[in-house]
Amino acid sequence: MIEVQDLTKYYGAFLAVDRISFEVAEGEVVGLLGPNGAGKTTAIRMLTCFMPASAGRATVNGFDIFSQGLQVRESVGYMPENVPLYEDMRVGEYLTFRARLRGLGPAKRDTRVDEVIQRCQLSDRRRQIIRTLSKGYRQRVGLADALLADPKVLILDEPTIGLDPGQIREARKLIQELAQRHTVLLSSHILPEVEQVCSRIIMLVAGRIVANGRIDELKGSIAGAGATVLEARGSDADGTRRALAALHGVKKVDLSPAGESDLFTFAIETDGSDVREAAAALLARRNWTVRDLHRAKSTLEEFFVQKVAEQGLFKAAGRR
Amino acid sequence: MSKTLALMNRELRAYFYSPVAYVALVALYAVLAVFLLVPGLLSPRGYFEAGQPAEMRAVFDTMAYILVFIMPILTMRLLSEEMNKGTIETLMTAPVTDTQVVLGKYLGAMGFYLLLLAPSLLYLGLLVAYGNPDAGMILAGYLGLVLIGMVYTAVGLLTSTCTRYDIVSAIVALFVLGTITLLCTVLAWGATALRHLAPTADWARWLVDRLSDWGHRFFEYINVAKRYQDFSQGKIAFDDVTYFLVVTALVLFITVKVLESRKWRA
Ligand SMILES: Nc1ncnc2c1ncn2[C@@H]1O[C@H](COP(=O)(O)OP(=O)(O)OP(=O)(O)O)[C@@H](O)[C@H]1O
Ligand SMILES: [Mg+2]
Repeated sequence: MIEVQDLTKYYGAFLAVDRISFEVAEGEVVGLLGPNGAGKTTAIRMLTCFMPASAGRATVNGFDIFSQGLQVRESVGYMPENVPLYEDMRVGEYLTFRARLRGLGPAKRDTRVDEVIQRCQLSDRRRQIIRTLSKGYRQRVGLADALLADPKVLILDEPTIGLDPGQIREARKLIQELAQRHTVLLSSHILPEVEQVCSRIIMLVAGRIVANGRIDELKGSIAGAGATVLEARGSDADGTRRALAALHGVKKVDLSPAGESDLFTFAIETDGSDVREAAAALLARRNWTVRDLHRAKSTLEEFFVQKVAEQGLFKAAGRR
Repeated sequence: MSKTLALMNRELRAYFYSPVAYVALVALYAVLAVFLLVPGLLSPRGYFEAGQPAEMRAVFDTMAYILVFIMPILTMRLLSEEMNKGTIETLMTAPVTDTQVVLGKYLGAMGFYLLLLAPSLLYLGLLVAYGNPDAGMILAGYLGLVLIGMVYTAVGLLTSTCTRYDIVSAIVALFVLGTITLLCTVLAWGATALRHLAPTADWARWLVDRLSDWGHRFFEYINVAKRYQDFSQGKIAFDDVTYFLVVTALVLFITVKVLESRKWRA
């Protein structure tokens, strides 16, 4: 649905997007992640034909973003980052205007406007002037606009910032529903949400793609993934540590005091096998009482922070 | 076509959302009233001279100059505001062409301009009621006003496409319109005055004569107000109509190109 090859964007001499290549298949929901200023919005603006790329190629729904801009824009529903809207119009009036711009005929226009208003829960705000809407409602108007023409591809730049928790949940549900019929590319900083709605993420740092893959794979790839954490009380901590280290599948055990005098935390690094039961049995034999035993789940947040830090190191190394 | 009309419709409505439109309306007719009524009241013979055909020439001539100041204010936000508020992003990522955007905006502004002229029909009503106006002259006058409005609006739209600051757009448009009306009148007059230098040498006299002649003709040629006067005097010349239409088309064409250039600039 979306194919990007070596897409590059310079703002003057500043390289904002550096030869990115990726694909989004039909029906996928892909999250575009990255720290502030990574180039997400820039990449999205090139794909929606708002800005020309400096180099590279890209197609959306089979149409070239350079030579077939009109067809690209016909296939895309786009919600820009800060949801610019005509402040003086009423919600319903604005959506009708946008429907006309999208080429919907008079008969279809009204039913579509009703549908998206319903969908984005704007029914009670239909006559309200946009200037007086709260941020969350503006956001919904932007989303309603993107959905108007029932486009093949939805590109949403931070669709859920500013929404209340209930609305975030609603938006998430909505995006999941949309995913059944649309291809979605969204950028976001809200990682739990990305984790729930996206089947795949692409991570940009300083204009470059540093990760592209399924979320569970990426999370598994970070250092310390799947460590088992054990908190227990007993004597001869170092002996216990060595015994744990001798268990089958264990690579390394770190010991640290856990605050109280005979309470310790063991961080058990394994080759991937689950050693929780063996560890519990071992501690029971040694007369330790177990307070907590779990496998640390690495989060997308850890992945994100680690990737950004790595890039920082590379950059520092490169500069020297 | 339907997209152009949608854009026009929105633009036209946008005028009524903002106080600028009402202020312009009041300003136009207040200034017009001052220019027309004050001399009439001061004159001992009253406003309409008995026995003379009633005419609106004063209205038309004054309008063309007042509009130099009013049109930039009416056109300044057309694209500047879109760029400043960021709505250009939703506008240009909708499936519309640059030409549709420019035409839609243009027609919207022209629509408002025509509405702005409407109250002057009241004055016409007065003429009909109390005098014996020459229909041909009045038609020619209105045609002239519409044509000159087309040029003014196109110029204002062009400057608005060039900058995101509406005040800058208004000032540049005022400068351009001032040049093609008032300043050209002055310059054409100045060119004629050159003749009075009357140098002694034959070759110098020839040169000055030529310069004066060409200069005068050039400034008369590009002087929009001058051409407009033909209409306000009741003349409809094919040449003048063509001139206004060609200038408008040319300015709109440049506007489309400037909007397109956003795509390869950036
Ligand atoms: N019009 C512009 N002119 C010059 N530089 C720009 C322009 N727009 C963006 N940039 C720069 O390009 C870089 C990428 O910006 P971009 O808006 O794409 O980041 P982002 O990933 O969307 O960030 P955020 O998460 O904060 O939205 C930034 O360093 C930004 O300062
Ligand atoms: Mg951004």
